Amino acid sequence: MRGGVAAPHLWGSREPCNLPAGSSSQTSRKPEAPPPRLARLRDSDPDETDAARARDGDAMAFERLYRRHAARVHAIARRVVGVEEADDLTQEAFLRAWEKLPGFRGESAFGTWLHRLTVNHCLSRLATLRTRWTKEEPEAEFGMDVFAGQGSGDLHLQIDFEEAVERLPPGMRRVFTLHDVEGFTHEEIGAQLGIAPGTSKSQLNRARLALRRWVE
Amino acid sequence: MTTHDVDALGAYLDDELDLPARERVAQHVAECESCRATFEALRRVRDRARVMHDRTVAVDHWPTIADALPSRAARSARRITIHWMSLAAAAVLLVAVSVGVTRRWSSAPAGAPPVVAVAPTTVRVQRVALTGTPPSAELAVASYDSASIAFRALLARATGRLRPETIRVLERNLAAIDRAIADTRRALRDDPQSAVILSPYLQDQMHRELTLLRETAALVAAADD
Ligand SMILES: [Zn+2]
Repeated sequence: MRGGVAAPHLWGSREPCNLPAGSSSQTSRKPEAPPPRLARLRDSDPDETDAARARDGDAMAFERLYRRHAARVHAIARRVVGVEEADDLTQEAFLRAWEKLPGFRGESAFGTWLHRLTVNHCLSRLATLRTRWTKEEPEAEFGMDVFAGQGSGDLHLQIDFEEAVERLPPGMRRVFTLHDVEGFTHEEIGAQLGIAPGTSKSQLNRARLALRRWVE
Repeated sequence: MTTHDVDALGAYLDDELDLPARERVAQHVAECESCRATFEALRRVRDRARVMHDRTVAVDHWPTIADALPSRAARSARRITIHWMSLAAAAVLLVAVSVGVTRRWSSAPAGAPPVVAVAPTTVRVQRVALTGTPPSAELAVASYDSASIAFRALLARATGRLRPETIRVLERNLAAIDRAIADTRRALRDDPQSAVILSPYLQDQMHRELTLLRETAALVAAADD
């Protein structure tokens, strides 16, 4: 895992679930002492069952978790770091989840836990990459063959909102993702990305304006 | 709030203002139609961001993950240098396009399109494709026009040397790219703020145009032999 670079983790000791609606498949917390009927319902949640099995070393259960969550994990990696790192980050996030599963006790939904772990892993990768970059990623960010084989038509009909987000310049894309998709504050984003909160705010609003044609 | 301040509208939307500032912005939004529209747009985008639809991952990473599971060991990850190498490869490709097309024209028989018009064209396109920042919309469009002119000249020269169906395919491709470019230009004109997203799209289209240009040059060259 890249020598275990420890970046400050936003959610390290905080109580979970100030995530926006829709940001995970499940956001309700487990009650302290659930009535038996609720306990049975909860136990029937496939994520929870599979997480418990994977914690005991069941790789097939872990594969099911992968199948259910890979799209979201990969999307987080693409938006927070960039498409060229997303495959590696996805694999690493799941491996890290496997390692950390023994510490997962179901205080939050598995999806929320994995999602958070992924964001933190992406942020620490970003911190590593940032020290290597002399400037923001150049034009490879705008993959040249993304539209290969596509026909014509108005661009905002050809690509959807999600792809438009990925085509934002990196700085705007990160701030927009962390703030509007993942629910971070500007202070947290500023600390993570090494920018002033005011910069984070103006990047956010520029990104929102750039995306307005996709919500009209 | 006396000016049309987008960041103030964003802060208002995100409930980051103290009471006096909030009241100032609220009053301005009530009075200013333009800021009201902007505020609504910011709100719609923010709300849409809360329900992102994640597309299926193209590559199945499970086999790789499964291989690494028993050891739980650190994996060696590909380095970012690969990314730079592919950039270098793209640069070589574009230079090759310039050189190749220029040479074909230089050795063309009498009656071929003028040589002078072509070489600077390809060089300009190359410059746009290799800059580190998204080109301005104007620059991208101007360079696209140059590439398009060069392409049409080459296509005219190819007529009679290539099979009619090949010509038709090339023309169809070019027409599709032309339509996409025209749509993008219109979108940029209607909504300049989306330039950060749309300008790279123009680059994509130019790249496709260049690829067609290169392939056509190769076809014409083969027909000459
Ligand atoms: Zn106004």
